[in-house]
Amino acid sequence: MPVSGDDFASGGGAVSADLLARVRRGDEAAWETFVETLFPLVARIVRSYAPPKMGHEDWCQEVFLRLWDRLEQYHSNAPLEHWVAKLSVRVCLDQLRKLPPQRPLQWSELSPKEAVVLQGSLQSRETLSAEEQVAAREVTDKLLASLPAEESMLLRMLEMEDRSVAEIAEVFGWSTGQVKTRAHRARHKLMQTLRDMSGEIDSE
Amino acid sequence: MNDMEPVWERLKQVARRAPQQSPPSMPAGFAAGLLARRRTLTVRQQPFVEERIAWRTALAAAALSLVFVAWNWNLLGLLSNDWLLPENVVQVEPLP
Repeated sequence: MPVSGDDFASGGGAVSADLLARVRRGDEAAWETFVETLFPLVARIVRSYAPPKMGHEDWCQEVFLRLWDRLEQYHSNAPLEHWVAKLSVRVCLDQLRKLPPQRPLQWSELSPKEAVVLQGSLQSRETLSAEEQVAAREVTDKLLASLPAEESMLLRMLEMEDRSVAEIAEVFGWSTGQVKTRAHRARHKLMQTLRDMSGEIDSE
Repeated sequence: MNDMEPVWERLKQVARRAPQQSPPSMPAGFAAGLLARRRTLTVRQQPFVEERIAWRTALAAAALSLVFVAWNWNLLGLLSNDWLLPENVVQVEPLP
């Protein structure tokens, strides 16, 4: 489920200052509690950016390993959960960049339910049942995952999570102009994929 | 390209209304596995870090030596441009 801009850092429990201090001192028992507390937050972010059918556990491990390495850089002027959330997003971006290039999504790769939902959208049919909504989410996930890594994440943040251009620019280390240009290109590719899929239905 | 915009918008809106997925639960042994992996990484990184420090020291020493040699070279006057002084320039007589 994509995370919305407002609840970016919600979902995990709060880490107390005492627990954080113990983790920084290298207390292994405290580390386990720390991981347990932050796991829901990290896993939710990883699940929203990792491609479908990708094992999320490895990515979660990467996040926590980086967290461990960089914990000294955290200063308590911002909530720890916000800092962890930002770090998780950056790790996801790095992991996505490591993936081999994806090929455009084909109609044949959709499950029967997903195909019905997409066909309904193409024919302007209202798809409102909960099951169809879940299928629609799976179709959007697959469509976005078929784009190159950065474009996939960029469009997900912009279109599904309503994040601001400035926020996205900070995550990617780009200017706001670059974000807009790349978003435009990514959207263009997405529309091309949809058009090709629509052509596949017509030819069947 | 615009013909597909409404399709994407509809799909997106429906997807956003989809019910929330259940919160992910931590797999058993996840934290312990992390600790073990962390220990392995620390052991592996140690020689690498030492090697990197050794390389940096060697590079810094080489750079310092170079500066020292260049400075001394200049002191000895080996790089002076005396040979460019007007009295050293050979006058070529024009051919008759």
